[in-house]
Amino acid sequence: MLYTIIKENTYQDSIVLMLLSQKLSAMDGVDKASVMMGTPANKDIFKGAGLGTPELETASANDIVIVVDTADESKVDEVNEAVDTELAGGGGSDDSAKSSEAHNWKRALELANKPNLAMISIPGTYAAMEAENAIRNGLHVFMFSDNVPKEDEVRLKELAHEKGLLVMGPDCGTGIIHSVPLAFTNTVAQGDIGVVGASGTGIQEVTTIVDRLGKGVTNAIGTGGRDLSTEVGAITMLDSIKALNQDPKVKVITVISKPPAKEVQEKVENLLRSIDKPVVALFLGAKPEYQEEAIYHAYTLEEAAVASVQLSNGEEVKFTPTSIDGLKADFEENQKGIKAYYSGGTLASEAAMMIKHSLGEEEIKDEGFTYKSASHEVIDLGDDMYTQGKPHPMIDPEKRIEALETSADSEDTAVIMLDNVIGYGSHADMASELAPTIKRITDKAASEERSLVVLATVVGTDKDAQGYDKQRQILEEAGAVICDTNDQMVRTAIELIGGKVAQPETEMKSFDKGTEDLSVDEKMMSLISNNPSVINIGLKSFTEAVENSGAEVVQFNWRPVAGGDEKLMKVLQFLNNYEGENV
Amino acid sequence: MIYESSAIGEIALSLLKTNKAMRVHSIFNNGFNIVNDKNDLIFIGTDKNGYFPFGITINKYTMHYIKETLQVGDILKTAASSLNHNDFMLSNRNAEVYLYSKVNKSDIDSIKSVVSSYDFCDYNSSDFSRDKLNRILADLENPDVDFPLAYLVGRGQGLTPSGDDIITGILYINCLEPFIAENHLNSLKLYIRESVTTIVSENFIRLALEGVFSRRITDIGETPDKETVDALLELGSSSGRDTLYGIYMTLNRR
Repeated sequence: MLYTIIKENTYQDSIVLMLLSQKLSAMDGVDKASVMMGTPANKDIFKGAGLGTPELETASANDIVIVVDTADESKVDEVNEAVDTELAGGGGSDDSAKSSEAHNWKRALELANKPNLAMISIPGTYAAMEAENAIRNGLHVFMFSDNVPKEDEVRLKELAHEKGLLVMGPDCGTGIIHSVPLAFTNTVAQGDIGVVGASGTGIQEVTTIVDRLGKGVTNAIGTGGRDLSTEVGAITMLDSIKALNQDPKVKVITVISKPPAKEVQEKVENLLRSIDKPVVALFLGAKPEYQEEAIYHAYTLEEAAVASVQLSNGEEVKFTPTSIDGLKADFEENQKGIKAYYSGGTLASEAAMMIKHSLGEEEIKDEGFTYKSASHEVIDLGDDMYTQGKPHPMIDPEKRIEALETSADSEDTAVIMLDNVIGYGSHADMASELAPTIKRITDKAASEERSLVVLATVVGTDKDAQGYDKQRQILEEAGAVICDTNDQMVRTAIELIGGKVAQPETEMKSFDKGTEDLSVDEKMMSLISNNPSVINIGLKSFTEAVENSGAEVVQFNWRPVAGGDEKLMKVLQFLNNYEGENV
Repeated sequence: MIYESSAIGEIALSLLKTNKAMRVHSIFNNGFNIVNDKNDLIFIGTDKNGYFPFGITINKYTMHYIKETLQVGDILKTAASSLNHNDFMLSNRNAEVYLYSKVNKSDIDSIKSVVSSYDFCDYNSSDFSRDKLNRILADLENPDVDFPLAYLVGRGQGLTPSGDDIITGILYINCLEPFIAENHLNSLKLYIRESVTTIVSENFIRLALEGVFSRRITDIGETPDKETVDALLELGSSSGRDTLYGIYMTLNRR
């Protein structure tokens, strides 16, 4: 008896069909079987082989036709099953489909439990496209990736804003969402201070100081460095401020940015003046000229942190800067240089600002320096210029060791400044990497009876895996003088060479209360009020921090393809290999 | 997800430019086909089977991931620079464009001498015996006989039935050294539009009639040596060999 099975619009390579024919013919109880595309010519072959059936005539050239000759009708089901298995790819296992990690959006969205945040750390050229996918899937976006064109940033942020979503970044290194650390972030106590900032290490410095002062930060929203540019127009910052304002748990809002374009600053301040919560604003790089009723204008990161803590305690803001005194240094006449080698860009900017404002040497414009004058230099070793093909100085000590050696040998160097930013994403024990060099250069200077002061500050909390106290101790034992904050370190350095950082004189000014619309999309409130459910696209090491804080995360294994950004790929490779050995 | 293609054939590119959306027609281990409503086809797949004028080349990882979400009937929005599926985007921004010039007419003797060293005896016991093909080839030269290719079109296994691959080989030699009567070429053009073979084959033959062939075939004309012939043999599970058989028989026809 002949039975016909037709698989409409189905294809397989001829080898598969031939093997299938053989397999079916070899089945017990099957006398004969043939599998072919249903073309007219092949129908002739079926007929010629005695396998012509009326159903065969209905098959089209794009259908696979199976004709089976068997006395046992039950065999037909068996044949059908075998055919389906074979056509589906030979029943071979597809391991990626079973894994809990996803390779595409569909799978990631299936695996994730009501996801609301995508973390993106794939190369910039692709990051924008994936960010758009995320937004279109209703997810907020945290973009660690850099090298995203500005016009893409504008487009993405506008799209997100329309949909009530937030885009943090691109080039956003830090974020804390409902106490869940994102990317390069410290573990900070929960609290009633809400931070929004356009600078990564600026957020880290402020939130860790807040933590060490006994208060906490539940949400620290990074906007990416270009958010306050004229083109982007502070879309993310404005939405974030509104969200923090609506959050009943937030008592004080702290805003950190470089000085933006005038019209953007006005826009931000206008919003800040419209809200009722106390605000601390730091436009790092500019000297505040006035204070106002509802907004405390800070000069440095430490001041912003202290003011936030005081306001959260319901106290009046009173910031008294500190420096470490009692340091013995007997510098030679020509020894008046401060040399600073930072891994944190904002910390470098802060040092540059304070040196510039206090020491009055003429600045020499040089791309490789955050600040350079005849005697002083401040370098951000995390700048693109120094990280080409190399990991970031927060994870690789090499560049700093090199800078330490060179500057220590330079006759005009009096003070060297270093930061050690700990927390998620950073080196497991940077202090121990830098310590031998610090010891060597201080010992050498001592043996030459030359004064050389190495100042260091650790950005972190006692909850960070590296151990705040331990990192301080290692650096101290190596011969560095440990400062509590970057502000304190820079003031100390300046005082060591005979200068003094003056706090800006400010007058009280009053402004009309702003009239900005303060409404916020529900999705934005949900983001900052709950543990995020994260889809992590890119650097796998970021999932650890999220998981450790009890939030859910699905790893989306994006595959870099030819033509990707080499720099980020190298960082990615380094980080992915790195996590196994450390932290 | 965003994937990237590494190469794109000229015909595929022009189809992407002229169609806003195409439908997934069929999916294989090494690639998939998309078609427009006129059944014009683009093959998107790995370079396992070489480069096609209507092909877009992706790597095997990309194919692996695409296969996870792709289903027959899915619609892809198409533009010259990209193909957009609900779950992924295939970008052609960095793809090399393969241009297909009409084949040149010079090297027919060299091709003949290289191809002669291959053995095709086994075809004698199939539907495509030497005698059978010689009769068809003789008829193709004669405008007064009935259309001789109906026997071959759509005959055999797989995605491109063997008979169709043999026709492709015959048409390639005809391009280099025309011998087929015009009326038979016209008949073939009309005949393949009648759903007599698979869509993939239909596209191959249609383009072959326009003098456009896949890279592996034109390579033989450009560099007639063992290497290029062996490369053609590796195409598909039997397609390459069937094509070469068509070439061989045409060059050695009586």
